[in-house]
Amino acid sequence: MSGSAQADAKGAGSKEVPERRRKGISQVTLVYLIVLALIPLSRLISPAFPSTDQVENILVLGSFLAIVAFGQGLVILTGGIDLSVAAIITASAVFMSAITGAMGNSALVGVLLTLGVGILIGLFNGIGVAYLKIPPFIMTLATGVMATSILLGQTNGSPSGASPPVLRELFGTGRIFGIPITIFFFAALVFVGWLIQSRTTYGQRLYAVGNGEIVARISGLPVKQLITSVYVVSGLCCAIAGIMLLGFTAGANLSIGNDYLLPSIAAVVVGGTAIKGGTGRYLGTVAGVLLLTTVSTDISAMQLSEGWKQIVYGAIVLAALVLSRERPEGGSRTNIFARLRARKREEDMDEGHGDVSKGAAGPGQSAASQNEHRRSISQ
Amino acid sequence: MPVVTLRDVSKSFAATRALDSVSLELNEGEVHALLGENGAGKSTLVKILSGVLQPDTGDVLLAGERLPMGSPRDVVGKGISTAFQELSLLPNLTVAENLLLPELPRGVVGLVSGRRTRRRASELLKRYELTEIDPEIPVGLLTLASKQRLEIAKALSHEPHLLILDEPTAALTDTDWLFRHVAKVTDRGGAVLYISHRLNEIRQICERGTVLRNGRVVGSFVRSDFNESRLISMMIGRSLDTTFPPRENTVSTESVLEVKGLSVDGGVLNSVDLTLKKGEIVGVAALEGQGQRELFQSLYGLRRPSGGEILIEGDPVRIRSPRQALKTGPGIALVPEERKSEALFLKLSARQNLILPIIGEISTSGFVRPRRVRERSDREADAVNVAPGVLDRPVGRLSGGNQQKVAIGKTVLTGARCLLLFDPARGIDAATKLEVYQFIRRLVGEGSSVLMYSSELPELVGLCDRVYALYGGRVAGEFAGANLTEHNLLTAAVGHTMEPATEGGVA
Repeated sequence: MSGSAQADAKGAGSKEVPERRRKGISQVTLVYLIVLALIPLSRLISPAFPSTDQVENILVLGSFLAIVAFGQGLVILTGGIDLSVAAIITASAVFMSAITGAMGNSALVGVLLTLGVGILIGLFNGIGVAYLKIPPFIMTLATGVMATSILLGQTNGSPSGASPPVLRELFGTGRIFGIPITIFFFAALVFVGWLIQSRTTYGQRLYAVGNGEIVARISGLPVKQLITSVYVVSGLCCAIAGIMLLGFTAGANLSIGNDYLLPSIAAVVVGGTAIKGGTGRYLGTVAGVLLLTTVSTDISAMQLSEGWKQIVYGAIVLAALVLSRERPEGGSRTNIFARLRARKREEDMDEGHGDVSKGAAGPGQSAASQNEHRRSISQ
Repeated sequence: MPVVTLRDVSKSFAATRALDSVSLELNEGEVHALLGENGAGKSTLVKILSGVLQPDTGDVLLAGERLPMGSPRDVVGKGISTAFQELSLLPNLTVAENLLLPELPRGVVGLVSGRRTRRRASELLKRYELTEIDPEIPVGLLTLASKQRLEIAKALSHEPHLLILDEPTAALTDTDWLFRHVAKVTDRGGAVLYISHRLNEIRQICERGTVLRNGRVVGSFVRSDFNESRLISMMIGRSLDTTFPPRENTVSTESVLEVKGLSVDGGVLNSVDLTLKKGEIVGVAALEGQGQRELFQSLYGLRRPSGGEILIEGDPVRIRSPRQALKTGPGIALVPEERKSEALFLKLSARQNLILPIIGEISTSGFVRPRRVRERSDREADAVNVAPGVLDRPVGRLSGGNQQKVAIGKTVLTGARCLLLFDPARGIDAATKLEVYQFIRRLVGEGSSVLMYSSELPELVGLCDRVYALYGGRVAGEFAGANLTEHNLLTAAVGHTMEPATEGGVA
């Protein structure tokens, strides 16, 4: 008896629809290829391009975005979004310059306190989203606005103090083997980011939460703590970015973080993470960072106004969203009719199941009852 | 003179024949009962009559005219309205808006007039004796009983030629109100299709009735030859020829789970007592919505019970979350009802699905060990008979049978030894069902305990050592040994107490 079941099982295995080979290349590879193509193409924009300076510039500028986008990526992975990144970056930079400059603390104390500020703001976001069930974009938007307003009040519009010399050395002028120190940070960040997202239990659990909070809860994962944690990590990443930017620009100003909100989301989405969460890799995000930074340096070189940069960023996000919307789960591109047929089949199957196994009513009603059922579970 | 005639109506979903040339006549002034087990095809019939589904073949005639198919709104216009069991009210809209949708009264410039909506709704509530319901509060704030009344009142307000009531008393305690208004429909020549599991209600108000089984009409009755026992036999019919693995005596005397007086708000679950011993498979038999879902959710920490006690290995425990349930005593784990929305991370691979609940245990200081992940998931996949070749695909792309095996595998892999299985063989093919049965048997052979709900009675009879029947949130009987028959289970599950012995089971 069990022998025949064994045979059935193997039969069932081979009955599976054969996996369609991916046609074309993955979105991440595509983005890396575009970056590689864009750098020589920069010559069209400026005769000074391409150059090692340009590449260096891209990597240095990209490192700030890469760290913010790491936090943002984790938040998006769980299905949320962090709209307070710009405010946290600015707050961190201003706070750092204030306590090391005006109050005369050492750089190390300053860094630790600043990281603490980032963590606290992130914790505030996380508790609002995970425990008070405030939609992420409202919660983080409110937090961002509050943080910005407090800064304006405290600084009267012009922050005091300057970057401690050690930061200027690390993130501004310092070089090792002729390479800016920031670039080493970037390399380390890519490794650590990949490690955390792909190779730790923490990262794996975040994928689980992003795939379905209810499933994660039923699987026994600490869903609320995990959701809180991604906002804390995002806050921490923004604080680190704030400190690095302070060193890079040698002085804080109230718009220091402004350029990072849309790009941080754009890099994540362009890098292949679904905006609804549950999929994506940090190496994809890094590809997105490099693409956006390359485009940004090109636009700067063309001496177009800042407004153009924002327009291009916006367009890139929308394009990436449209592209990813057209892709079925898992990433293979198949023709749309085949997909519609498949969807129709699935719906029919679901109808059938619903009917065979329970006394459900009309689809609208059963959907309503499912929602009710779900609500009761997620309480 | 028939109001509605169904002629050879058939409907299939994929390989499942939900309705198989069903013919039916509903006469003027008649209340007609529709009976059948879960999955007999009742709801498919309701969906076809209410225009939600189109039949594959066959005709539905309304006063001699063909019914417009596939458009619920047109069907309502033609005079068929339905009060759904699962309630079609929108929780965030007010009572008044819900009553009058989709035609909200308009004011001068064509905008919806709140004043007229309220006035019109108040009139309707008065007409249907529901003046205790405030027309201005959102429906979501009403009690379940009020919602059900409102759903019925809404269906009545269209003054239909055919009124379909799908389990109208599931949340109603007194039936007088309902029966009064049903009588008004029949008095003016309308027909009523009355779907209920409650045989005494059917005896009270139905002139005739039809019994469905596996999508076919298997019998009918008129009030004068109403016989509950015969109806139950008709509903069960001959059981499907499913083979069950042989029973071995694995039950020990040690109690693993004991539930005393468990209640959930609003009487959804009412003072339920049950026990589960080591090595035992205990079943729960119930028709849809009798509290089985709430029972399983309470035991797994997904719902706070309002009263009663849960004892694990003799110690009282309070289970507040699934996380805690998994760590309580021998570990309590649940295979939930909905594979796609509750059990599986659809976009992640089968391997990740299997491993995620225990990923902490097989990692070294927070770092995933890919080789260990592969070994453990391979081993578990082998235990539940999932071919290794499919393990790295997104689980959402696997067949239903393989998905269910992964869902069960991931639950078992947590190491929990008290397993709650909610309809574990639902919607999978016969071969996979048998594998699932064998797997469940093997688990209890290894000393685990299983509490399972199933919507299929033969499964409970073939697999369980003992079965509790739930009806209206209460234990309506406990069956084991020779008493464990489909007939006895269904009798208790429809709330009909036949033998004095089952009375003893009522807590």
